[in-house]
Amino acid sequence: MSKNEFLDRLFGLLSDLSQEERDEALAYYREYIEDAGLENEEAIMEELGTPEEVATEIKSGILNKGNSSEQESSQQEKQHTFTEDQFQKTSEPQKNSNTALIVLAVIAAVLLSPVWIGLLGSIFGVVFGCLATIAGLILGFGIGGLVCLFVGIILFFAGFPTIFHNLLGGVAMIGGGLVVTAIGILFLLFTGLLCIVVIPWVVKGIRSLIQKLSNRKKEVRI
Amino acid sequence: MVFNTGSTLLDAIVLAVVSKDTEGTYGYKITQDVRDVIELSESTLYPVLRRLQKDECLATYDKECAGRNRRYYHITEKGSEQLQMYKREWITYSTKITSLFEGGITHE
Repeated sequence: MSKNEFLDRLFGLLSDLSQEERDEALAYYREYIEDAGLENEEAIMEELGTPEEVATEIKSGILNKGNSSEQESSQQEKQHTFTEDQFQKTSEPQKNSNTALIVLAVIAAVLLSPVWIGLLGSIFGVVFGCLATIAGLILGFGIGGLVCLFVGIILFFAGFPTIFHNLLGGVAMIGGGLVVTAIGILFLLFTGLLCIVVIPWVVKGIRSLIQKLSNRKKEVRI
Repeated sequence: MVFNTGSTLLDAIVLAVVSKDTEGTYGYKITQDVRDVIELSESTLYPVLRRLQKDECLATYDKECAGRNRRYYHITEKGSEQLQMYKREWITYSTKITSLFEGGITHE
């Protein structure tokens, strides 16, 4: 935006003021921008704010002036209005900046929603994946162990009557039954180990994760 | 700065800044001088200067400078009186606050 464009827009925005006020304000800002240095124009306009902001400031100043000149008669009364002015000035910008902050936060949350929804989704995905893997391992080894144990015991006992008509087959059945039973016992032991070690570890992990998340939320609130 | 500058204090600061230059001073320089002391957006000062001018605490005159016009502000008799009042009030105010902060020192 060039200097003249800025001043033209400001002039247009002050159309509800008297010609005198308008010319005064415009002369002041033209001079100000020139004093600030020609090469600095863009920066000064960033500092001054948009023409709309400047116009609002000029108008609010003129309204205040009307109030204070009315009560110029008595010094005490004047001081009283000054303190009122002061109070308004100190409380309003804070309110404004608070609402501005909230609006910014909401806009940021909406704009960044693809990011944080994706992030949350992937975190949940990883956590559930891990849990499902662990459950699968425990179930797999547990059921596998039970089946092996069952089959092994059946083979072992079925082996005895077989010995009478087929010695080799019977011995093989008894041996195989023992081997399969041993594997089943191993699997079941492993399942027990998984249950004892992994489940408390998972519970602890989830607990600390939830604590971390809630702590982070508290920090953000502060 | 954590403290807000109310409009009365801002008036006092502007009057003090302008009164330092007996020849008078101009908008940009006033803004920079005030900004040396308190945080202030560049555009805040125009309404204050305009109000002080309307209240006859400041007077203006135009002077040609480097091929263009520049408006100079200087303090009036009324403005000087106002500034003296602000200075007295400020001393009372700041002394009370300081003695409260430092504790123990009470004065009748």
